[in-house]
Amino acid sequence: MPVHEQGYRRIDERGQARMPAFLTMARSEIALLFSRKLLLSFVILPSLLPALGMMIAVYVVLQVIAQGDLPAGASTLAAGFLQQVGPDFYFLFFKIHASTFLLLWGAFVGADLIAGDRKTRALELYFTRPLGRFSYLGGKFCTLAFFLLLTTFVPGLLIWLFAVSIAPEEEGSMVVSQYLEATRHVPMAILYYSLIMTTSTCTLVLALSSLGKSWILVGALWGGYFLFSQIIYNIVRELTESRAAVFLSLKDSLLEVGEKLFRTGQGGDEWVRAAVALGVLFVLSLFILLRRIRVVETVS
Amino acid sequence: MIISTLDLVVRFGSVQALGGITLSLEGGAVGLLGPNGAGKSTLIRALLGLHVPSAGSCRVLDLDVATRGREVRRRIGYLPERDAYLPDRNAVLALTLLGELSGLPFLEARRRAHEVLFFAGLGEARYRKVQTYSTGMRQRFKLAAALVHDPALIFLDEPTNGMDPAGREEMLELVRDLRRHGIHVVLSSHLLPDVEACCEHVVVMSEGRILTQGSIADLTRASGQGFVVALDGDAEPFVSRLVDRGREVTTHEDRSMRVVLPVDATTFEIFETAASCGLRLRRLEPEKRTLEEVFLRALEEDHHARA
Repeated sequence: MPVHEQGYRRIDERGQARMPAFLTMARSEIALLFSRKLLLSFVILPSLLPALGMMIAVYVVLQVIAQGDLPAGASTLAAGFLQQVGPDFYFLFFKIHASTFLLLWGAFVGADLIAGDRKTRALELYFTRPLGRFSYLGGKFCTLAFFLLLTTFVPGLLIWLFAVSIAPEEEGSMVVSQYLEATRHVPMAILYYSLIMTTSTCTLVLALSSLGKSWILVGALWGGYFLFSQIIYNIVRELTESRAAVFLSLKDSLLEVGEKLFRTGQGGDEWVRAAVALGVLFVLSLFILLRRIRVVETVS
Repeated sequence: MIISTLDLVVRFGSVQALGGITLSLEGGAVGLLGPNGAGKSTLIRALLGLHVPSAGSCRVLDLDVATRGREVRRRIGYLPERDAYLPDRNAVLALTLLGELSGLPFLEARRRAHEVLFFAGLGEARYRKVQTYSTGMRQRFKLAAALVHDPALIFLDEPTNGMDPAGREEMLELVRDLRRHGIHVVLSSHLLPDVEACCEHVVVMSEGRILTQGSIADLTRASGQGFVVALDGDAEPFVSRLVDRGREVTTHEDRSMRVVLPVDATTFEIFETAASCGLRLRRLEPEKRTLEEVFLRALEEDHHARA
């Protein structure tokens, strides 16, 4: 019986990889995640449902109600609805994401990204290649960031473009130029807010993922932090009747910064504390990652 | 020169894992021998650039590991001692990624992944997730992972760990095959037969130091004064005469005996003694040491030197 089914072949002419190592890693991880049907069914597609619902709402408000031949009372109602398709409306989309889907993405996708590699000692295989830890971390970051941007930035911007494209012309109750004027800051707000939400979440989830070897444990840690920090903040807010302690909660810090970017909400300077809190979390997460993901980590 | 180190020291806190290793290896198949904790794996990881030396320097394939670590890792392969695989991927996807990370373009990496999996005998199982593999298959997978980018030098850290005898023999045959294709091999093992089966050179280590090194042929060559002797007939008078002359004689169950002559004596003494006893010599050959004896003697000498 032959020992092997095929002889060894030396490579005659060695080509060059066209992609940076971190993108190669990210591409491979993304393809792997897309192949998981459960993840596709219970996280990716549900994350896109709010955007679909909001597009339908935009269509109903801007096309059916605004252009409809409505009785006097209904016209007032329609005008009220029209007011809703402004910055508040777009920010609502991100509020839904910050409240629910960040939790799901972190627990079911992010938690396993590094913990899984640590469990199977894949780091030993990765770092004996010409791969640095920044490339490794960059690949993991891009993987989670891709999905978060796919379900926040892309649909957020699509909703705005959809609204602009179907806003009634002169003969309707709204003029496109007026609508554009009222929401001109929205695309940039969507971009900046998506990036802030994605960066904060990705670094924190990856840092937590580097602490354990079980995605269930890391997922529970992430969920616990996410929910418990909100509970603490809400208790403090009720007791002090102030939003000054917003830095305690990741979700509320994100929302506070979001309100500033979308120019909505109650105003105040709490967004500065929230932004500082997010910055501190980012730096702390990076520190943890660089401490945990080391080449010598492969040695027990 | 595939590997050269100069006073290489690696410390983990207060523990000195490697204590001033100076080594020069020309190439071929080299066995790293030593008991558990001898520093074999640490030496390999230092050569891979995974451990920063506390002192000294090392070069692999004429590249300084400290300054050109990535280039070194691009040109070498490594089979780790412990179980390691990429989670949730089948073997083809895992090796494609590892090939790309080693600098191959995607299509070439995919092609190589198939090739080396067939080479390692995992052709039929290449679309299975690696976590479903048996221990022996995972060892083969690690070998394929080390070869996917066609390295010039491959480090094998206990490659036959956990394999059954047939699988172990196949793994060693794969290693020998790599040598035939011009790939330099450094095989770390505490199993002497594995090293003996694959390597031409050996480095014996203990407690972070090199005890002895050289080609297996040289190390196992006769010391010059020990001989294996077999006679036709009753050997008792022959043994008595040699013992009377003060020679060291050890008889074995197979009726052969080990005769140690002094430095100034020649084999003529054995011929003469046998003739005087009316016996005919059936076998007379210089005594050859086994690798195991070389290994044990090196450990013993080190132990005495330290005592």
